[in-house]
Amino acid sequence: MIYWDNAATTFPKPVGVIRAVKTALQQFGANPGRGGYPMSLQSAREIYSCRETVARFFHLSNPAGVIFTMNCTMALNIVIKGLLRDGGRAVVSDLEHNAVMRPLQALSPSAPVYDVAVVVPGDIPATVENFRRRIGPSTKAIICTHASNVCGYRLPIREIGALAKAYGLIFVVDSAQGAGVLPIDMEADHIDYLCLPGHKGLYGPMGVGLLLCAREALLPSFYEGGTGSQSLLLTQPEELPDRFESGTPNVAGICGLHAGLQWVMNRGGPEAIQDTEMTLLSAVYDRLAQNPRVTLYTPRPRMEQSVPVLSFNIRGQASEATAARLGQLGIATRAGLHCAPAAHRKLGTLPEGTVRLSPGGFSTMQEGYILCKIIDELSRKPLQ
Amino acid sequence: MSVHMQQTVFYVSSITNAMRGKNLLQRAGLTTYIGRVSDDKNTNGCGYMLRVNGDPDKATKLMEESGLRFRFSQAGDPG
Repeated sequence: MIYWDNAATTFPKPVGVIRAVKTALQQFGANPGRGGYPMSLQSAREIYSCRETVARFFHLSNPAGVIFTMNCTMALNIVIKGLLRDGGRAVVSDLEHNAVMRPLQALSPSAPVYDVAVVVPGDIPATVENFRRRIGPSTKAIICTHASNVCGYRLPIREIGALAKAYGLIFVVDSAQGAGVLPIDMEADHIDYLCLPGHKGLYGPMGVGLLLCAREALLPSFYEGGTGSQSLLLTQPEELPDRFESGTPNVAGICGLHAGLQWVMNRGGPEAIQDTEMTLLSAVYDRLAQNPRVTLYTPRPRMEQSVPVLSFNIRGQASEATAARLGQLGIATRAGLHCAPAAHRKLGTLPEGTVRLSPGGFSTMQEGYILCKIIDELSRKPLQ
Repeated sequence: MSVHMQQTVFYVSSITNAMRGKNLLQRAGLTTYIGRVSDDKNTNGCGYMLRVNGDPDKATKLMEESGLRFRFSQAGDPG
Protein backbone atom coordinates (compact mmCIF):
# COMPACT_ATOMS: atom_id res chain seq x y z
CA MET A 1 0.00 0.00 0.00
CA ILE A 2 1.16 3.52 -0.74
CA TYR A 3 -0.15 5.43 2.22
CA TRP A 4 -0.53 9.13 1.51
CA ASP A 5 -3.28 9.89 4.02
CA ASN A 6 -1.00 11.04 6.83
CA ALA A 7 -3.12 14.14 7.42
CA ALA A 8 -5.77 11.75 8.77
CA THR A 9 -3.29 9.78 10.85
CA THR A 10 0.33 8.86 10.30
CA PHE A 11 1.13 5.35 9.17
CA PRO A 12 3.19 3.37 9.68
CA LYS A 13 4.28 4.23 13.18
CA PRO A 14 7.96 4.08 14.08
CA VAL A 15 9.12 0.77 15.52
CA GLY A 16 9.92 2.52 18.79
CA VAL A 17 6.29 3.57 19.14
CA ILE A 18 5.02 0.03 18.66
CA ARG A 19 7.61 -1.19 21.14
CA ALA A 20 6.62 1.47 23.68
CA VAL A 21 2.95 0.51 23.47
CA LYS A 22 3.78 -3.15 23.89
CA THR A 23 6.07 -2.39 26.84
CA ALA A 24 3.36 -0.29 28.45
CA LEU A 25 0.83 -3.09 28.16
CA GLN A 26 3.29 -5.56 29.61
CA GLN A 27 5.04 -3.51 32.28
CA PHE A 28 2.93 -0.43 33.08
CA GLY A 29 -0.39 -2.20 33.39
CA ALA A 30 -1.39 -0.61 36.68
CA ASN A 31 -3.62 2.43 36.85
CA PRO A 32 -1.47 5.50 37.49
CA GLY A 33 -2.41 7.96 40.21
CA ARG A 34 -4.51 5.47 42.13
CA GLY A 35 -2.36 2.93 43.96
CA GLY A 36 0.84 3.40 45.92
CA TYR A 37 2.57 0.18 44.89
CA PRO A 38 5.59 0.14 42.57
CA MET A 39 3.85 -0.63 39.25
CA SER A 40 1.24 2.08 39.81
CA LEU A 41 3.96 4.59 40.61
CA GLN A 42 5.95 3.44 37.58
CA SER A 43 2.93 3.95 35.31
CA ALA A 44 2.57 7.41 36.78
CA ARG A 45 6.27 8.02 36.21
CA GLU A 46 5.91 7.18 32.51
CA ILE A 47 2.92 9.51 32.13
CA TYR A 48 4.74 12.33 33.87
CA SER A 49 7.84 11.79 31.79
CA CYS A 50 5.73 12.26 28.65
CA ARG A 51 4.28 15.46 30.09
CA GLU A 52 7.81 16.77 30.65
CA THR A 53 8.94 15.95 27.11
CA VAL A 54 5.84 17.50 25.57
CA ALA A 55 6.22 20.65 27.68
CA ARG A 56 9.86 21.04 26.63
CA PHE A 57 9.09 20.40 22.97
CA PHE A 58 6.40 23.10 22.82
CA HIS A 59 8.12 25.50 25.24
CA LEU A 60 5.50 25.27 27.98
CA SER A 61 7.02 26.02 31.35
CA ASN A 62 4.82 23.80 33.53
CA PRO A 63 4.44 20.09 32.69
CA ALA A 64 1.20 20.06 34.69
CA GLY A 65 -0.24 22.23 31.91
CA VAL A 66 0.01 19.25 29.55
CA ILE A 67 -3.42 17.65 29.50
CA PHE A 68 -3.98 14.28 27.81
CA THR A 69 -7.25 14.03 25.91
CA MET A 70 -8.76 11.51 23.56
CA ASN A 71 -7.84 13.58 20.50
CA CYS A 72 -7.40 17.13 19.24
CA THR A 73 -11.16 17.55 18.82
CA MET A 74 -11.73 16.90 22.51
CA ALA A 75 -9.03 19.42 23.40
CA LEU A 76 -10.73 22.04 21.21
CA ASN A 77 -14.12 21.31 22.77
CA ILE A 78 -12.68 21.79 26.27
CA VAL A 79 -11.25 25.17 25.34
CA ILE A 80 -13.99 26.55 23.10
CA LYS A 81 -16.87 25.61 25.34
CA GLY A 82 -14.99 26.61 28.46
CA LEU A 83 -14.08 30.02 27.11
CA LEU A 84 -17.36 31.02 25.52
CA ARG A 85 -20.13 29.25 27.43
CA ASP A 86 -20.85 32.37 29.47
CA GLY A 87 -20.75 34.70 26.49
CA GLY A 88 -18.29 36.47 24.28
CA ARG A 89 -17.23 35.96 20.68
CA ALA A 90 -14.30 34.45 18.86
CA VAL A 91 -12.49 35.41 15.67
CA VAL A 92 -11.75 32.38 13.50
CA SER A 93 -10.23 31.93 10.05
CA ASP A 94 -12.05 30.92 6.86
CA LEU A 95 -10.16 27.61 6.84
CA GLU A 96 -11.37 26.07 10.10
CA HIS A 97 -12.06 22.38 10.57
CA ASN A 98 -15.39 21.27 12.03
CA ALA A 99 -13.52 20.52 15.27
CA VAL A 100 -13.58 24.29 15.76
CA MET A 101 -16.79 25.19 13.95
CA ARG A 102 -19.12 22.58 15.43
CA PRO A 103 -18.42 23.43 19.08
CA LEU A 104 -18.94 27.09 18.19
CA GLN A 105 -22.21 26.23 16.48
CA ALA A 106 -23.33 24.13 19.45
CA LEU A 107 -22.78 27.09 21.79
CA SER A 108 -25.27 29.18 19.89
CA PRO A 109 -27.20 27.37 17.15
CA SER A 110 -29.37 30.35 16.20
CA ALA A 111 -26.84 33.17 16.18
CA PRO A 112 -23.12 32.69 15.48
CA VAL A 113 -20.70 33.60 18.24
CA TYR A 114 -17.82 33.93 15.84
CA ASP A 115 -16.50 36.33 13.21
CA VAL A 116 -14.54 35.02 10.23
CA ALA A 117 -11.21 36.45 9.11
CA VAL A 118 -10.07 35.79 5.55
CA VAL A 119 -6.66 34.19 5.20
CA VAL A 120 -4.61 35.61 2.32
CA PRO A 121 -2.17 32.84 1.42
CA GLY A 122 1.40 34.08 1.31
CA ASP A 123 0.49 37.55 2.60
CA ILE A 124 1.06 37.74 6.34
CA PRO A 125 0.28 41.46 6.84
CA ALA A 126 -3.01 41.15 4.93
CA THR A 127 -4.02 38.04 6.89
CA VAL A 128 -3.24 39.65 10.23
CA GLU A 129 -5.09 42.83 9.23
CA ASN A 130 -8.13 40.73 8.35
CA PHE A 131 -8.04 39.20 11.81
CA ARG A 132 -7.67 42.61 13.39
CA ARG A 133 -10.68 43.95 11.51
CA ARG A 134 -12.89 41.21 12.89
CA ILE A 135 -12.09 42.02 16.53
CA GLY A 136 -14.98 43.73 18.26
CA PRO A 137 -16.03 44.79 21.74
CA SER A 138 -17.36 41.29 22.56
CA THR A 139 -14.39 39.39 21.19
CA LYS A 140 -12.84 37.18 23.84
CA ALA A 141 -10.56 34.98 21.82
CA ILE A 142 -8.87 34.30 18.52
CA ILE A 143 -9.22 30.63 17.62
CA CYS A 144 -7.52 29.44 14.46
CA THR A 145 -6.03 26.52 12.68
CA HIS A 146 -2.27 26.33 12.32
CA ALA A 147 -2.62 24.96 8.79
CA SER A 148 -5.45 23.77 6.58
CA ASN A 149 -6.06 20.03 6.36
CA VAL A 150 -7.49 20.56 2.85
CA CYS A 151 -5.08 22.81 1.02
CA GLY A 152 -2.10 23.02 3.37
CA TYR A 153 -2.16 26.81 3.74
CA ARG A 154 -0.23 27.79 6.81
CA LEU A 155 -1.40 30.62 9.06
CA PRO A 156 1.05 33.12 10.56
CA ILE A 157 0.34 32.13 14.15
CA ARG A 158 3.19 34.11 15.68
CA GLU A 159 1.87 37.32 14.16
CA ILE A 160 -1.74 36.44 15.02
CA GLY A 161 -0.63 35.60 18.56
CA ALA A 162 1.01 39.00 18.85
CA LEU A 163 -2.23 40.58 17.68
CA ALA A 164 -4.22 38.65 20.28
CA LYS A 165 -1.82 39.74 23.00
CA ALA A 166 -1.99 43.38 21.90
CA TYR A 167 -5.78 43.29 22.21
CA GLY A 168 -5.84 41.30 25.45
CA LEU A 169 -7.47 38.32 23.77
CA ILE A 170 -6.98 34.64 24.47
CA PHE A 171 -5.22 32.82 21.64
CA VAL A 172 -6.17 29.23 20.83
CA VAL A 173 -4.42 27.26 18.09
CA ASP A 174 -5.70 24.10 16.46
CA SER A 175 -2.43 22.50 15.44
CA ALA A 176 -3.84 19.24 14.09
CA GLN A 177 -1.76 19.63 10.92
CA GLY A 178 1.10 21.68 12.33
CA ALA A 179 2.41 19.76 15.31
CA GLY A 180 5.47 17.80 14.33
CA VAL A 181 6.02 19.56 11.00
CA LEU A 182 5.99 23.21 12.05
CA PRO A 183 7.99 24.71 14.93
CA ILE A 184 5.79 25.82 17.81
CA ASP A 185 6.95 27.89 20.76
CA MET A 186 3.97 28.61 22.97
CA GLU A 187 5.73 31.47 24.67
CA ALA A 188 7.12 33.23 21.61
CA ASP A 189 3.90 32.57 19.67
CA HIS A 190 1.77 33.94 22.56
CA ILE A 191 -0.38 30.80 22.54
CA ASP A 192 -2.64 30.38 25.56
CA TYR A 193 -4.11 27.03 24.56
CA LEU A 194 -2.59 24.65 22.05
CA CYS A 195 -4.71 21.73 20.85
CA LEU A 196 -3.15 18.86 18.97
CA PRO A 197 -3.49 15.19 18.15
CA GLY A 198 -0.97 12.66 19.32
CA HIS A 199 -1.47 10.44 16.29
CA LYS A 200 -0.59 12.65 13.33
CA GLY A 201 2.70 14.58 13.19
CA LEU A 202 3.79 13.29 16.60
CA TYR A 203 3.52 9.67 15.41
CA GLY A 204 1.73 8.32 18.48
CA PRO A 205 -1.17 5.88 18.31
CA MET A 206 -4.75 6.97 17.71
CA GLY A 207 -6.69 7.66 20.89
CA VAL A 208 -4.42 10.32 22.38
CA GLY A 209 -4.58 14.07 22.02
CA LEU A 210 -3.11 17.01 23.88
CA LEU A 211 -4.32 20.26 25.33
CA LEU A 212 -1.47 22.48 26.41
CA CYS A 213 -2.48 25.21 28.85
CA ALA A 214 -0.25 28.21 29.32
CA ARG A 215 -2.99 29.82 31.38
CA GLU A 216 -4.00 27.89 34.45
CA ALA A 217 -6.87 29.79 35.94
CA LEU A 218 -9.32 30.23 33.13
CA LEU A 219 -11.21 27.16 31.94
CA PRO A 220 -13.87 25.26 33.89
CA SER A 221 -13.74 21.48 33.99
CA PHE A 222 -15.25 19.75 30.98
CA TYR A 223 -16.09 16.37 32.46
CA GLU A 224 -15.92 15.31 36.07
CA GLY A 225 -15.07 12.08 37.81
CA GLY A 226 -12.41 10.22 39.73
CA THR A 227 -8.93 11.67 39.72
CA GLY A 228 -7.28 9.60 42.46
CA SER A 229 -7.01 12.78 44.48
CA GLN A 230 -9.05 14.74 47.04
CA SER A 231 -11.78 12.13 46.88
CA LEU A 232 -13.75 13.59 49.81
CA LEU A 233 -14.54 16.62 47.67
CA LEU A 234 -17.48 16.28 45.34
CA THR A 235 -16.16 19.13 43.23
CA GLN A 236 -13.55 18.47 40.56
CA PRO A 237 -10.04 19.42 41.73
CA GLU A 238 -8.92 22.76 40.36
CA GLU A 239 -5.26 21.95 39.89
CA LEU A 240 -3.92 21.00 36.52
CA PRO A 241 -3.95 18.45 35.04
CA ASP A 242 -6.60 16.86 37.29
CA ARG A 243 -9.17 19.51 36.43
CA PHE A 244 -9.36 18.12 32.89
CA GLU A 245 -8.34 14.49 33.37
CA SER A 246 -10.92 12.23 35.01
CA GLY A 247 -10.98 8.47 34.88
CA THR A 248 -8.31 6.13 33.68
CA PRO A 249 -5.83 7.54 31.15
CA ASN A 250 -4.74 5.80 27.97
CA VAL A 251 -1.40 4.73 29.43
CA ALA A 252 -0.28 2.66 26.45
CA GLY A 253 -1.25 5.44 24.06
CA ILE A 254 0.59 8.06 26.07
CA CYS A 255 3.72 5.90 26.20
CA GLY A 256 3.42 5.48 22.43
CA LEU A 257 3.03 9.23 22.00
CA HIS A 258 6.16 9.77 24.06
CA ALA A 259 8.11 7.44 21.80
CA GLY A 260 6.67 9.14 18.72
CA LEU A 261 7.74 12.55 19.93
CA GLN A 262 11.21 11.24 20.61
CA TRP A 263 11.30 9.84 17.07
CA VAL A 264 10.39 13.28 15.68
CA MET A 265 13.19 14.86 17.68
CA ASN A 266 15.67 12.20 16.58
CA ARG A 267 14.75 12.87 12.94
CA GLY A 268 15.92 16.45 13.34
CA GLY A 269 12.67 17.98 14.54
CA PRO A 270 9.72 19.53 12.71
CA GLU A 271 11.79 21.59 10.29
CA ALA A 272 13.71 18.58 8.98
CA ILE A 273 10.53 16.53 8.61
CA GLN A 274 8.68 19.32 6.85
CA ASP A 275 11.60 19.83 4.50
CA THR A 276 11.57 16.17 3.45
CA GLU A 277 7.82 15.95 3.05
CA MET A 278 7.54 19.23 1.17
CA THR A 279 10.22 18.04 -1.26
CA LEU A 280 8.10 14.96 -1.97
CA LEU A 281 4.91 16.94 -2.32
CA SER A 282 6.45 19.57 -4.57
CA ALA A 283 7.71 16.85 -6.91
CA VAL A 284 4.21 15.37 -7.07
CA TYR A 285 2.72 18.81 -7.64
CA ASP A 286 5.09 19.49 -10.52
CA ARG A 287 4.18 16.21 -12.17
CA LEU A 288 0.42 16.62 -11.71
CA ALA A 289 0.57 20.20 -12.96
CA GLN A 290 1.68 18.88 -16.34
CA ASN A 291 -1.56 16.92 -16.76
CA PRO A 292 -4.34 19.07 -18.24
CA ARG A 293 -6.94 16.59 -16.94
CA VAL A 294 -5.92 17.20 -13.33
CA THR A 295 -7.13 20.25 -11.41
CA LEU A 296 -4.91 21.66 -8.69
CA TYR A 297 -6.32 24.30 -6.38
CA THR A 298 -3.26 25.97 -4.91
CA PRO A 299 0.03 27.38 -6.15
CA ARG A 300 3.11 25.19 -5.91
CA PRO A 301 3.56 24.47 -2.20
CA ARG A 302 6.32 26.36 -0.41
CA MET A 303 7.68 25.66 3.04
CA GLU A 304 7.02 29.15 4.38
CA GLN A 305 3.40 29.03 3.30
CA SER A 306 2.31 25.40 3.49
CA VAL A 307 2.30 22.11 5.25
CA PRO A 308 2.58 18.92 3.12
CA VAL A 309 -1.08 18.61 2.12
CA LEU A 310 -2.32 18.84 -1.48
CA SER A 311 -5.80 18.69 -2.97
CA PHE A 312 -6.64 17.79 -6.55
CA ASN A 313 -9.37 16.37 -8.76
CA ILE A 314 -9.42 14.53 -12.06
CA ARG A 315 -11.69 16.47 -14.42
CA GLY A 316 -15.04 14.83 -14.89
CA GLN A 317 -14.54 12.42 -12.01
CA ALA A 318 -16.03 12.80 -8.55
CA SER A 319 -13.40 12.95 -5.83
CA GLU A 320 -14.76 9.94 -3.95
CA ALA A 321 -14.77 7.91 -7.16
CA THR A 322 -11.15 8.84 -7.83
CA ALA A 323 -10.15 7.96 -4.29
CA ALA A 324 -12.02 4.65 -4.55
CA ARG A 325 -10.14 3.74 -7.73
CA LEU A 326 -6.85 4.75 -6.14
CA GLY A 327 -7.72 2.65 -3.11
CA GLN A 328 -8.35 -0.39 -5.28
CA LEU A 329 -4.88 0.11 -6.73
CA GLY A 330 -3.31 0.23 -3.29
CA ILE A 331 -3.06 3.98 -2.83
CA ALA A 332 -4.51 5.46 0.35
CA THR A 333 -5.89 8.98 0.06
CA ARG A 334 -8.89 10.78 1.47
CA ALA A 335 -11.61 12.40 -0.61
CA GLY A 336 -14.65 14.57 -0.01
CA LEU A 337 -14.90 17.51 2.34
CA HIS A 338 -12.35 16.39 4.95
CA CYS A 339 -14.59 17.64 7.79
CA ALA A 340 -13.67 21.15 6.67
CA PRO A 341 -16.43 22.62 4.47
CA ALA A 342 -15.12 26.12 5.23
CA ALA A 343 -11.85 25.36 3.45
CA HIS A 344 -13.67 23.87 0.47
CA ARG A 345 -15.89 26.94 0.32
CA LYS A 346 -12.76 29.04 0.09
CA LEU A 347 -11.25 26.82 -2.60
CA GLY A 348 -14.52 26.67 -4.55
CA THR A 349 -14.72 22.88 -4.31
CA LEU A 350 -18.09 22.51 -2.65
CA PRO A 351 -20.06 20.29 -2.69
CA GLU A 352 -17.97 17.50 -4.25
CA GLY A 353 -14.74 18.14 -2.45
CA THR A 354 -11.29 17.01 -3.51
CA VAL A 355 -8.84 14.13 -3.31
CA ARG A 356 -6.19 14.89 -0.72
CA LEU A 357 -2.57 13.74 -0.79
CA SER A 358 -0.53 13.98 2.40
CA PRO A 359 2.87 12.25 2.59
CA GLY A 360 4.44 11.37 5.90
CA GLY A 361 7.69 10.49 7.52
CA PHE A 362 7.94 7.14 5.76
CA SER A 363 6.78 8.28 2.31
CA THR A 364 9.27 8.09 -0.55
CA MET A 365 9.94 9.75 -3.88
CA GLN A 366 9.38 6.38 -5.54
CA GLU A 367 5.87 6.29 -4.06
CA GLY A 368 5.24 9.77 -5.36
CA TYR A 369 6.34 8.74 -8.83
CA ILE A 370 4.05 5.68 -8.83
CA LEU A 371 1.17 7.75 -7.48
CA CYS A 372 1.50 10.32 -10.26
CA LYS A 373 1.74 7.62 -12.92
CA ILE A 374 -1.46 6.02 -11.69
CA ILE A 375 -3.28 9.34 -11.50
CA ASP A 376 -2.20 10.02 -15.07
CA GLU A 377 -3.61 6.65 -16.16
CA LEU A 378 -6.88 7.15 -14.30
CA SER A 379 -7.27 10.58 -15.87
CA ARG A 380 -7.23 8.92 -19.30
CA LYS A 381 -9.90 6.39 -18.34
CA PRO A 382 -13.26 8.04 -17.76
CA LEU A 383 -15.64 6.34 -15.37
CA GLN A 384 -18.36 4.22 -16.97
CA MET B 1 20.77 15.39 65.01
CA SER B 2 22.36 15.49 61.60
CA VAL B 3 20.40 17.49 59.08
CA HIS B 4 20.96 14.68 56.63
CA MET B 5 19.10 12.25 58.86
CA GLN B 6 16.00 14.42 59.15
CA GLN B 7 12.93 13.65 57.20
CA THR B 8 10.29 16.01 55.90
CA VAL B 9 6.89 14.98 54.61
CA PHE B 10 5.00 17.07 52.11
CA TYR B 11 1.40 16.28 51.25
CA VAL B 12 0.38 17.02 47.69
CA SER B 13 -3.00 16.52 46.11
CA SER B 14 -2.13 14.79 42.86
CA ILE B 15 0.30 12.28 41.44
CA THR B 16 1.45 14.87 38.91
CA ASN B 17 2.44 17.24 41.69
CA ALA B 18 4.10 14.37 43.50
CA MET B 19 6.19 13.56 40.42
CA ARG B 20 7.01 17.20 39.87
CA GLY B 21 8.03 17.65 43.48
CA LYS B 22 10.13 14.50 43.49
CA ASN B 23 12.02 15.56 40.36
CA LEU B 24 12.66 18.98 41.81
CA LEU B 25 13.95 17.66 45.13
CA GLN B 26 16.03 14.85 43.68
CA ARG B 27 17.73 17.24 41.26
CA ALA B 28 18.78 19.21 44.33
CA GLY B 29 20.30 16.09 45.85
CA LEU B 30 17.49 15.27 48.29
CA THR B 31 16.41 11.62 48.27
CA THR B 32 12.66 11.57 47.91
CA TYR B 33 10.06 8.80 48.07
CA ILE B 34 6.49 9.01 46.93
CA GLY B 35 3.79 7.33 49.00
CA ARG B 36 0.05 7.19 48.87
CA VAL B 37 -2.02 8.88 51.58
CA SER B 38 -5.67 8.63 52.54
CA ASP B 39 -6.62 11.18 55.15
CA ASP B 40 -9.08 13.97 55.48
CA LYS B 41 -6.78 16.52 57.10
CA ASN B 42 -4.04 16.97 54.54
CA THR B 43 -5.34 15.66 51.24
CA ASN B 44 -9.14 15.94 51.33
CA GLY B 45 -9.48 12.19 51.34
CA CYS B 46 -6.60 10.98 49.23
CA GLY B 47 -3.42 12.12 47.66
CA TYR B 48 0.28 11.60 47.83
CA MET B 49 3.11 12.38 50.17
CA LEU B 50 6.72 13.12 49.46
CA ARG B 51 9.02 11.77 52.11
CA VAL B 52 12.27 13.68 51.82
CA ASN B 53 15.57 12.78 53.49
CA GLY B 54 17.91 15.66 54.13
CA ASP B 55 17.88 19.32 55.03
CA PRO B 56 14.25 20.21 55.78
CA ASP B 57 14.82 23.94 55.27
CA LYS B 58 16.30 23.34 51.84
CA ALA B 59 13.46 21.01 50.90
CA THR B 60 10.81 23.44 52.10
CA LYS B 61 12.38 26.37 50.29
CA LEU B 62 12.52 24.42 47.04
CA MET B 63 8.91 23.37 47.33
CA GLU B 64 7.77 26.89 48.17
CA GLU B 65 9.68 28.40 45.27
CA SER B 66 8.31 25.82 42.85
CA GLY B 67 4.74 27.09 43.13
CA LEU B 68 3.49 23.59 43.94
CA ARG B 69 0.62 23.48 46.42
CA PHE B 70 1.38 21.32 49.42
CA ARG B 71 0.95 20.85 53.16
CA PHE B 72 3.90 19.64 55.12
CA SER B 73 4.91 18.21 58.42
CA GLN B 74 8.32 17.39 59.75
CA ALA B 75 8.63 13.76 60.65
CA GLY B 76 12.00 14.12 62.38
CA ASP B 77 14.76 11.55 62.59
CA PRO B 78 13.73 8.44 60.63
CA GLY B 79 16.26 6.35 62.58
